[in-house]
Amino acid sequence: MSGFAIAFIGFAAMLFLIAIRMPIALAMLSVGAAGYAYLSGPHALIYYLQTNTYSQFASYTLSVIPLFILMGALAEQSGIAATLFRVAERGFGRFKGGMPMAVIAACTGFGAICGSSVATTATFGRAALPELRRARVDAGLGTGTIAAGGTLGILIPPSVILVIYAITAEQNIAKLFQAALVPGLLAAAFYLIAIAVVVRRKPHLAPPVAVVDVARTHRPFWARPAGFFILAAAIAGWLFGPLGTVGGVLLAIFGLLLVLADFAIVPAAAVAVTVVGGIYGEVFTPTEGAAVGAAVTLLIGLMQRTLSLGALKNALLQTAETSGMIFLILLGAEVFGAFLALTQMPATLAAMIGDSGLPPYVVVCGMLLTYLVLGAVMDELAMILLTLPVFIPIILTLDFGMPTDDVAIWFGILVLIVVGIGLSAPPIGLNVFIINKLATDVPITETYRGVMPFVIADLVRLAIVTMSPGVALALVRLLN
Amino acid sequence: MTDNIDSQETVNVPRRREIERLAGGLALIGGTLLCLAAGLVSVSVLGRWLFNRPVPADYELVEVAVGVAAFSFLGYTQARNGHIAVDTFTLALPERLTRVIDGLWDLLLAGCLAFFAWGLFTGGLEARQYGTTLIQLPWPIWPVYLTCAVLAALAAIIGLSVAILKIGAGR
Repeated sequence: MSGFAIAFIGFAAMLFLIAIRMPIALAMLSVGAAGYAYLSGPHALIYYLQTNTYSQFASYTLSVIPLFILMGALAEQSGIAATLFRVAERGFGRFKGGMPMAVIAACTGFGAICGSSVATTATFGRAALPELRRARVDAGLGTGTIAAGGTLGILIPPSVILVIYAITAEQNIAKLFQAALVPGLLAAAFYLIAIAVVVRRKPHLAPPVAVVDVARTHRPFWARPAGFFILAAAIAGWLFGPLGTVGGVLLAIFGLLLVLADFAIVPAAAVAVTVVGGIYGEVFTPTEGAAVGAAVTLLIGLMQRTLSLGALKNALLQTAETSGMIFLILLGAEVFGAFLALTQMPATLAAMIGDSGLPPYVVVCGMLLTYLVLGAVMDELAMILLTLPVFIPIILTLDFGMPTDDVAIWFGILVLIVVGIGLSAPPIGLNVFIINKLATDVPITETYRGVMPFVIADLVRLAIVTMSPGVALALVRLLN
Repeated sequence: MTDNIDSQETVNVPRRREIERLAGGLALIGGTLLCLAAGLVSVSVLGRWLFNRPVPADYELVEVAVGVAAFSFLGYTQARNGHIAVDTFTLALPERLTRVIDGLWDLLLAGCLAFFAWGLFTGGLEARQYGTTLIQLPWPIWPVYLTCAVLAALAAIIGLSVAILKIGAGR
């Protein structure tokens, strides 16, 4: 039997097992192991797996994943989301559709601390849903907004999905985080526009909040002078050299935060800016950034007494459950990938498509369509781990008139966008399921109706980033 | 396979709550380890920034901590049904049947974990014989392997109990 046929049988067997409820990680692991044993003998498999489980898990690159999950879980448990939402509510509340807009704005901020869409959706489901109800926002629009806003958790760096893409495609995590920033902010802007369009046509869906009865947080006397001083230092440091652009911009943002922002969000914003900025400026590696972020979030939570011992325990357990899930699925993907590599199917397929003379853009659009279809019926994380071993070699052989690294980074951002769509679009959207569990009185069809404007906004954004890779790559080129 | 389950069940049906407590305890140990790793890296970054002196071999310590933590998480994820599966195509099946199917998959996963435990145990013995050490630090690696083997074995036991509970409830 040819390698191609074996790989095909492997894929078919795995999809069948997944369809009869086998956990996806286990399906990849068992089919991969069976194929490996078939191709190179059971002894080779046993030797391969003996201590490889440990070496897979004990990897410096991989350790960034549980650390980012820990950081997000700590942020979730210390109630940062509620603070962000309160501040955003004051800014947007008086507009038509202001409450849903405040959710999007707060999700954008939270996305800069949290790298998971599940955590972001669940957090805002708890923190914002009661407030939306009180403000008499239409139920479907409210849940739809939170489901879509939850995707900002992965669209705005840091992003666990992007780290997994980077590891699988062997790309630089820092560069992918850089590339994700502009499309991520664009997503937030498009969501705001989507809400504005919806409420312009049906103003009764989200009436403006007449009196926003939230007081500004008291700003200590030293904050403003300190902010101006830091701002001046940033400008001086940038002009005269010792700081560089990234350092200057970071410091300037710190200064502006102290001068302008509500004091309640300053600690969280400072953590986010330090972590993402530090990774951008290569002050530290992504793993170090995640570790520092987790440690500082923990410290702030304990010092501000927003993080009780019970909440800390919850954060650790949450981290354990998610990390355990991701680690096992990565192990399964590794074994399945090793089997696929033995069949040489990805390389053969890449050569075939390269020789076929298909226009590169047609191939990319085909892959994105595959993702949209797969994302509708299966879990997004599993979807990318299953497909990337086949898709990446193909993408890298196509000629887009860019260096291959740029192509891989741009494709990563496209994958991120389709993952976001898959998380919120019908018939199976994980974020919608989460919000459906939290808002049991809202029928799921209502939520799907509410989420549609955002899905359309995402499709427009997907088209834009597909046609002009510069949207994603400009910042990468600027910073390198 | 069914004989096996029967004999297991006659011995002693484990209680859901006790399993979750064991799994949760292990997960908390791993979570604490992760926090310690985060603290260690932060100290190292601070030391490098302020005094140009990072903690030596910090990255290797992080690897060990995360590797051990990962094994301590696996049982908890399984006890919480945290491993993602697709249920779209089996919605029409009766719930009792899907429970039994899920239990069988849990059993298979427990088998895999037991196999990992065995691999790490034998690998640890070999590493001890050859005196294999970590890469940067001069410490022997076998205690790490054995710790992971124990954690994997405990995860396998947790998985087995979860499977028995599901299949038992499916009857």
